[in-house]
Amino acid sequence: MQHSQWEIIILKPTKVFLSFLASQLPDVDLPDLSLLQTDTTAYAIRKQVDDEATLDEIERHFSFMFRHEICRWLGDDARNKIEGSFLDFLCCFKFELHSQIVLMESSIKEGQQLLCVKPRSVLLKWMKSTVENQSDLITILDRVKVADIAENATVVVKNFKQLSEVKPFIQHYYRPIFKAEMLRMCDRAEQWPDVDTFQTFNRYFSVEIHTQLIHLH
Amino acid sequence: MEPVTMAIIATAVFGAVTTLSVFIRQLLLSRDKNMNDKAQSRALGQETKELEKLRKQMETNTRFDSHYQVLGANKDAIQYIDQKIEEILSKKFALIKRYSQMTLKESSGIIGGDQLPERKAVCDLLRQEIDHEISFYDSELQQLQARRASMWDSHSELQMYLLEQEKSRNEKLDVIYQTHTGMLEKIYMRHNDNVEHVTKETIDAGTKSFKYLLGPLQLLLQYFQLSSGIAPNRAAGEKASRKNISDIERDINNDATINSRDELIDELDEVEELAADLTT
Repeated sequence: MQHSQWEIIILKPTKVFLSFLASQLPDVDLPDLSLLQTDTTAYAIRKQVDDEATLDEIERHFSFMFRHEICRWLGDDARNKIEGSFLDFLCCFKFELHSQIVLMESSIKEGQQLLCVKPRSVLLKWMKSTVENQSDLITILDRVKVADIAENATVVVKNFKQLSEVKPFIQHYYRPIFKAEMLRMCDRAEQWPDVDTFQTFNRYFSVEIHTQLIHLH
Repeated sequence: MEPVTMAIIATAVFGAVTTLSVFIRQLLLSRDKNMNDKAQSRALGQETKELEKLRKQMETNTRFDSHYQVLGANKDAIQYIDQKIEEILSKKFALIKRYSQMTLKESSGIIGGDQLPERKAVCDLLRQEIDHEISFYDSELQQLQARRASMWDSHSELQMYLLEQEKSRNEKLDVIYQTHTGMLEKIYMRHNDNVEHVTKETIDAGTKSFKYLLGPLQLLLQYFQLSSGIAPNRAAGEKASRKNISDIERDINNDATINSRDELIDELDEVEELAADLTT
């Protein structure tokens, strides 16, 4: 396993951004929030020494990211004063950070797209069953949601000529992807759930597609 | 499938060795949430400084008074009206300043985790009161300006200059008020978005839950300015593209789900939780 020099930021639009779009396009039938949160943009930054430095990096690039998100919906020439407000940016987007990366291109700079592998509730149930004799851990897991175990979920950097290639790709490479995602949680492979088919993999994990990986470094 | 080179690159955030128990113990410490909250506190601090600058500009405002030297018989009456106008603008400024301090405190509280709908309801009521008071001040201002205009007997250009100065001050006050109100509304809405069920709430546009979201969404519209250079057809293309991706994801992710009794039960549990949330 290599040490990561990169971190991926995925911007998840909020209801505030949906409201912004509604204010700009009053006559357009906009998507609901779940569709707005599909195929969200991923941005690659250099891994920073600590969280404060990571925030500095996000702040340094927020205006570019904000403009890009606006342009995806309003066109490349669209400009709005809001792009300059860090607070508006943070109200319009929740950012997720991912540093567990499976690189399937020659270098991260070559990566234009990525997949995010998100644990499902079945994995949370598996965790509970694994530690059922340890009451302190069960107490924690009773308070945990699927979204909590999905934080810093593994991202797979891979370019696809056509999106129809994604499913065969996952079916072919689910084992190393599973390994990478499980290593994030536990490095003792003997403790992992048995995953020997794509169908079983699919019970534990879902896949999100991100067709835009933009490099900010 | 053609072979690809694969590398797993990772950061050991919580130490070099990862055991399941270590992983579970850190699950309640969300780095993402912490980072988002920190970033917002930082941005709120910047916003506070900007608004403070605006407020200081308002405080150091010097009223135009050169006209007193050239006015005729109604000079004293006009001076009296000017004084009344100044009092109204000062009262409006004091009101908005207090309101601004309250919105900054509330915004900071929401970011810090206080998310009581009751407190938001109190803020909404307070804003309605302030809207009412501002409307009263604006009406008084107009009446006084009209009375002054009827008395102004020479050098009308000076009256126009004075009117413009007052109008500009009043507009700046309205901008500060609107900015603070918009900021609080956006932060409140943003933090409501942390509720995990939000995505599900919007799945079916025909349900009550979607209509429930429309009110607050529409309220926010007034706080955004219109962009320049909008390509009107872009949104439809983007929507279609994301719909396509969503279909592909469903195709990838649903194969096992339909055979997974556990998953279905979990989904049903979540729907029931959502229904319970909406009825309370």
